[in-house]
Amino acid sequence: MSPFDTELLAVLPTLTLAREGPFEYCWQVMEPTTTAQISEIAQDTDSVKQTVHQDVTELLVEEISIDGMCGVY
Amino acid sequence: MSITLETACELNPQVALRPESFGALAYHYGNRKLVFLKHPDVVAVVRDVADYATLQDALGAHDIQPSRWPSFVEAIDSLAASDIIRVR
Amino acid sequence: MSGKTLATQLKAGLDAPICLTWEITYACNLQCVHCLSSSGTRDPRELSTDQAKAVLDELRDLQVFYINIGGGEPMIRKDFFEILEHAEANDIGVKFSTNGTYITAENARRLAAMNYLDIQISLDGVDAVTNDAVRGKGSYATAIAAMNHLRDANFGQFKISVVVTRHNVDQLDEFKALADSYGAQLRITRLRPSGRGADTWDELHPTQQQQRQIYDWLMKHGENVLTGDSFFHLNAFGESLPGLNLCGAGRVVCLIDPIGDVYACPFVIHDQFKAGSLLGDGGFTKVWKESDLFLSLREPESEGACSACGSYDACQGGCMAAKFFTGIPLDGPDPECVTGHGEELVKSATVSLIPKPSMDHSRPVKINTPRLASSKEAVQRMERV
Repeated sequence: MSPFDTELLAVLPTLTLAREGPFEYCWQVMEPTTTAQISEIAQDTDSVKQTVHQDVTELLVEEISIDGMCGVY
Repeated sequence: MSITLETACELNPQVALRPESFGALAYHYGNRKLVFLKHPDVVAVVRDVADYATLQDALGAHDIQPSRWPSFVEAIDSLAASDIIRVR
Repeated sequence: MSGKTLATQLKAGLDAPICLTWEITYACNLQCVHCLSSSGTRDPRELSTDQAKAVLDELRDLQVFYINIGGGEPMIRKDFFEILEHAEANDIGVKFSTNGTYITAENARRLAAMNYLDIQISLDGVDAVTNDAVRGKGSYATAIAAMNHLRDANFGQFKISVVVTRHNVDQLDEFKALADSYGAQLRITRLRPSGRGADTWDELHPTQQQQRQIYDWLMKHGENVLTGDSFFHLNAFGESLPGLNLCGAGRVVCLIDPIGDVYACPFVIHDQFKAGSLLGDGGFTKVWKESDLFLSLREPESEGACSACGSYDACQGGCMAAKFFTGIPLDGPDPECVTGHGEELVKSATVSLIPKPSMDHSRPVKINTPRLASSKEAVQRMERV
């Protein structure tokens, strides 16, 4: 299995070192790594590190004109 | 000057907030601007943002996920442009 | 993230209006040929001063921030300033619509001293010939005098409101210049076949070509021009005009008439669009929240006959008042549908079945303009005692 077999990686939980608990270092099971995260990990390290840009996905406010709704003088 | 997570903000006292099922209607008595706040979370933040040192503190206090912070910064910035939110 | 657009959410209705029109009297000193409320004589059931103040108190409790006061001619009421001051004291912003007759120099100063006040002067022509043909002899001079008094009193920015007709559509640039000369804001609105407007609709409503002219003008010059969102039926021409582009009637706005009846909007003063009376138990609030009419208007609307046309999302099927008073089914096209789907329906509508306004407060008056007196209803009105 290639380390970049992303489908399989997505299913397997990721094992990582944790720094808490009674032992200074112990293995802790984390959530399965998502496909997006795997793509990032699998990126060629020589490539330019892309800035993680969070898209503004929610339009939380919207201005309307007091004259901008039909049915009033 | 645009709003950032570090900005200290406050709701303009000339603004009335009228709750709606999806959020609230904000009306500025001075400039007559009318804005819809389209999510209860942005209403909650706007109501007491003056109680926090920075916008980021307010977002944290209201358990807003960091992934949503850019949307909130943009929203507060837009409200500041209408003078509904002011910089302290 | 809410998947619904703002427009979708508003069409479902709110717990209180965003703003509303309040016609405080049917009395008027003018007899404009297109009057949407068929005004002229005072109705004996007109709300008293105390009743009017109680309405304002209720609107304050509902957090209705802003109301549009009109009539008839609202300044005719002896308690006009008392009503305004009660609104101001209760933090309700007021815009009132007037023909300007009662904006004397003294009244202009009084108005200038008030807070949260917007004034809208009605004008339908950039010169007396064009304007007075619709609004009556001397009305142009009256409106200009009112504007001068407001300017002299340092009132600040007021609005000039124009109903666009076949005869003034070429004057849009001049209207803008006139507004600019006063530092006023121009507002142009759509003529509906409502009230006396039904009698003169055939002669006054813009032609299809003129509708294109209005749309193009708004897209090119309309940045600071208000429209009351009344031209959304023109969106089928292309890019949508600014505004919510939706019918707010019964959803986010409504009309309170001089006798306390509540209608979906000022353009449908007819029993079919009457939601109830605020004089009942539960006042205005109950009518707004629970009336059958308003609840049904807040249901999602069906595209009906317009479903085959690709423009429905843009034009929303147009204006229900325009359809109702030209005899077109409400799920049909607008009579001025820009793709022409409405024209045939208007022509084939059975005239005797076309709804008439429920009330007519017009004063019998000789109409000065011979061509407009040719309308059968207008002649009948002249003959009435």
